Amino acid sequence: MAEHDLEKVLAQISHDRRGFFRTLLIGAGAAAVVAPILTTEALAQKEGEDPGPGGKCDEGLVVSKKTGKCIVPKKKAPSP
Amino acid sequence: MTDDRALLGCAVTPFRHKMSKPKINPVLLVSPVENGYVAYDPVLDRLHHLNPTAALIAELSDGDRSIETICDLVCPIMPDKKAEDVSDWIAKSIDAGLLVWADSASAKASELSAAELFNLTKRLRAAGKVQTAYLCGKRTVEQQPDNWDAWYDFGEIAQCVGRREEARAAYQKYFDMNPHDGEIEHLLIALRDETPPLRASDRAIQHIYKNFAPSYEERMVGDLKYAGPQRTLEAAKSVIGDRKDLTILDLGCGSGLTGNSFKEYAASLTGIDLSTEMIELARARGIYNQLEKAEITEWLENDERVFDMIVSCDCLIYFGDLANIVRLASRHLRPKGILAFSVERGTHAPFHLTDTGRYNHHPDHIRDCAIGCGMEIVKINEGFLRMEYGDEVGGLYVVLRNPNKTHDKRGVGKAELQDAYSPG
Repeated sequence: MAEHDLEKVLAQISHDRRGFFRTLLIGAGAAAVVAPILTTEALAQKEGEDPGPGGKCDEGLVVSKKTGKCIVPKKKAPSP
Repeated sequence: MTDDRALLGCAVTPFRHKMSKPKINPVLLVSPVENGYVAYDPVLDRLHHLNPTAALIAELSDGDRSIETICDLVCPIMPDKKAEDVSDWIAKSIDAGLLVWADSASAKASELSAAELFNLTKRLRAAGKVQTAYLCGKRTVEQQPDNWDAWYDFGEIAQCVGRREEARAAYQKYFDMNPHDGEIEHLLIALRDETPPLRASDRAIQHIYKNFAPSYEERMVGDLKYAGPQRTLEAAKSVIGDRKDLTILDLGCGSGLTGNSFKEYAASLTGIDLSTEMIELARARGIYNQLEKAEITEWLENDERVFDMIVSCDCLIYFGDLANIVRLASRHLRPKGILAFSVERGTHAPFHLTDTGRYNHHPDHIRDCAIGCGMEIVKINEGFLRMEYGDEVGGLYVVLRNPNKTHDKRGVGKAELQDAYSPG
């Protein structure tokens, strides 16, 4: 990567972020500049996942006594 | 349109034109982190992670630059210099909701409120996403500089992610607004690298356990895999033998975890603790013959009773120099009586006040204390104590034996008064 190319792109972003990107793109060496990657993760716990810290599941889920995983609580059958 | 898409290598989202102008979705909360950006989507409750190149493209996506302009700027610094990589990424980011078109209706901003951000920080931390929690916590205190609760939380999170100076500053802000918080007062001594006191103050201990008591066992045993009582018992087993008739004193008994481990060897079990809340937990366990609320040094100085065994787990971590406590404890032991305790293993002799507010102790200090008090060293085992911020904390499991004599109030040996205790 030519330094002037990097400076050209850094000149286009806000001043207070330039140092951050300079460190990010040069500091870690040439390997730092690779194809852009976006990864996305859901934060809400899903059924079948392990309970969080403290052994608790998110709101709306309960810990299964059988599997120890988070499950949607079963509703009781309506009494006759 | 087709030509544009082919030119831009887009296969995911129908680009309207290479001159279309993307921008970061205004509903997102974006923060730089060590390896790029993180962006939280509060609408869909999900988190985007952007590598450095992706973060740069996102930064350039300000709604004024076209895809073509962004490609022209970024491609030259990429190894393959392929425009498709950039345009594909933009297309995927539009699909993922990270970017929006500058002129789209969805581009209306709706910032997270300070309260929402505060709650999000707590939630991220509870979910173990401390790096993101740190970023959100930082934004929270910037938005709410008078929210002492937010400063406290941010101090903890900053400590979790190893940002000591920020933790100290955050705790200081909190303490300025809550000068009666003994726990933070004690923690600040460590974070300011001041000369540590001989032990944590009563106020600090009481404050720590008032808050900690409701979740103590869940956090210590469940989350932190605390092994102090079992490991201390393992160390002491060789001298306890088959005896089931011991009189045992549990110093800093807390919720009774230690008592629970030793109860099968006890004819009577006495527990001492400074925290009212912890004493109540111990009482609810129903294993102690006697429970007293007292500071242990004071109790040892004033009480006359003697025991076959004194145990103390997760208590002497609030003491620096252990010489006095070992000397006082030895006076309450029958001849051949046992003092068994656990501390955190330190690498600096004699002891060190850590940033967690707990003291750790070098094995040499334990030896010096034992010899200085005329106690016989049976064992000093090293091993796992518990987890902390995802790392293992090492412990020392110490077993000392009172020689065949008793001590008077000054710790001077005198004629034996009780039947000798013979280990099995």
